[in-house]
Amino acid sequence: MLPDPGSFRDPGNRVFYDGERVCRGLDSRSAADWRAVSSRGFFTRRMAQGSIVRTTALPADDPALQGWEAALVHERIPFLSYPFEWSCGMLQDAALLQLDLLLEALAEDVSLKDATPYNIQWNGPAPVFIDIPSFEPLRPGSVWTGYRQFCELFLYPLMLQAYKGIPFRPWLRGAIDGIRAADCARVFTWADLLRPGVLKHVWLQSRLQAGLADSQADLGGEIRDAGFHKGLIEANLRGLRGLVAGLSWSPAEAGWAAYGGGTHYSAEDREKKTAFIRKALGSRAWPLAWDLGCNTGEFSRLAAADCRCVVAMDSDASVIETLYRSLKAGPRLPILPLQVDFADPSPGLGWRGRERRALSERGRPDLTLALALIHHLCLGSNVPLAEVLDWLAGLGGSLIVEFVDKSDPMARRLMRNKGDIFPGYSREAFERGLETRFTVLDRLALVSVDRVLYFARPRAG
Amino acid sequence: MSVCLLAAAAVPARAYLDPGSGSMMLQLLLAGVAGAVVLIKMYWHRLRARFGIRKKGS
Repeated sequence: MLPDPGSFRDPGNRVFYDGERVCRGLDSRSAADWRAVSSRGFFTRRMAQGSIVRTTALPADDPALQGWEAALVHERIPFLSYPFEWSCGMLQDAALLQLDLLLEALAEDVSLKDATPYNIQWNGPAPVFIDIPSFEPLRPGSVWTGYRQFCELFLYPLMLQAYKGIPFRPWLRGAIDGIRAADCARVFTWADLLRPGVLKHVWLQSRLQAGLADSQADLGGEIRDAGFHKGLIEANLRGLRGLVAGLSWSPAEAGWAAYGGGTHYSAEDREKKTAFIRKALGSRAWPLAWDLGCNTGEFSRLAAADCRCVVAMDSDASVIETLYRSLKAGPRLPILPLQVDFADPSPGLGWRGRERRALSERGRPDLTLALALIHHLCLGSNVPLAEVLDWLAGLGGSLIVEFVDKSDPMARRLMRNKGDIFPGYSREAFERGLETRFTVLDRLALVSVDRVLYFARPRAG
Repeated sequence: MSVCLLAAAAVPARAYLDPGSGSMMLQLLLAGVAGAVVLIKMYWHRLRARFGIRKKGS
């Protein structure tokens, strides 16, 4: 039984792993909440739809209970991700799910204790609420406890992107509890107060927080005694829903590199490349694949036919936003788009650096696709070739990799202002390094571009 | 005296997350007329408590 290091904030429950099972121990209060909530109409309906993680109670004699009053077992999420890796559209849809769930829950006198995007994960491009003990019977007269947290972790990040063009990812990665109202207020100008939501949710909240910071009063009790009721929360939620749904941004504004999925290939080479990758993918089943530098997601879609989950990663925010929108609009595929800079991947964060796990600690790929990626790391970010190969080998899975020679136009573009300061970057050095770490099963040299594809499996031991 | 008023409050909150005093107050202001009514009643209770007038039944 391995406790999840990130599941401690609510002392009433704890996630732990029992082999492949994802379990959650509940204390007596959380167990009573579960019994009260799990049979409600909204809950069973949302769980059947898949927007609440499928969950069952473990029998009372299951050894996994380990002294807890009760325990649940959750359907396993294919790959965990965090809001600082999501596109704007993903955070927006997660926010809408959070608001909709609370609205539906309130209609049946159930509330949510918190409002954090860390309680939402993804099944392909579909958001899934995972923190079952967040649901509790509504205490009459209580305010929405999660309102401030919703603003800090959902609303302000989205507003900053939509109104000011400021990416929220670096901020959320640097602040696990989100953006404080006072900090957000400093970013907005007086003119921004006219934008929807800024005056109320940012400026006024910031001023009230400052004004009441030292208050000793039991405000929650006073508000309850004055007749606060759930209709007031519902009015606020409906307003927030309209506000969040109305926030928009253009992926192009965020600077899409317009790399274009390799339009410089000849049609024949493009076909050959696709056939090579399809053949490698079809050689076996791959439970988890990582597509590093996924661009338009063309090869993630190809891989999705042979994989249980494809994590499609790219450092370009617009690429991930565009991919998410197209996945959402199309037939459901098991592809999770994430914005990741491979030269600076997500580290462990929070308490002891383990509350939110580093990218590499959330599951290793059985197959890695690194198509037209390595020249970006070596020539763009100056990472030595041997280190890139060590990293790919360290992931532990098989590899479909494309090597781009220095003479390729895209490689030349990366070096145009630096000059050629990379004597160790060559096809010969790449092949030597690859064959030291992997067994090369197949290769294909393209004719119209200076690129070679390899399919390799890790060397045993 | 206000202690007498607050002691009448029922169940303690027991929230693991601090909702923030300012953010709680804001929820009244965001709720329009209905929220304003609650706000006025809250300050009315405070005023009564200041003059030692207890809530009915306490």
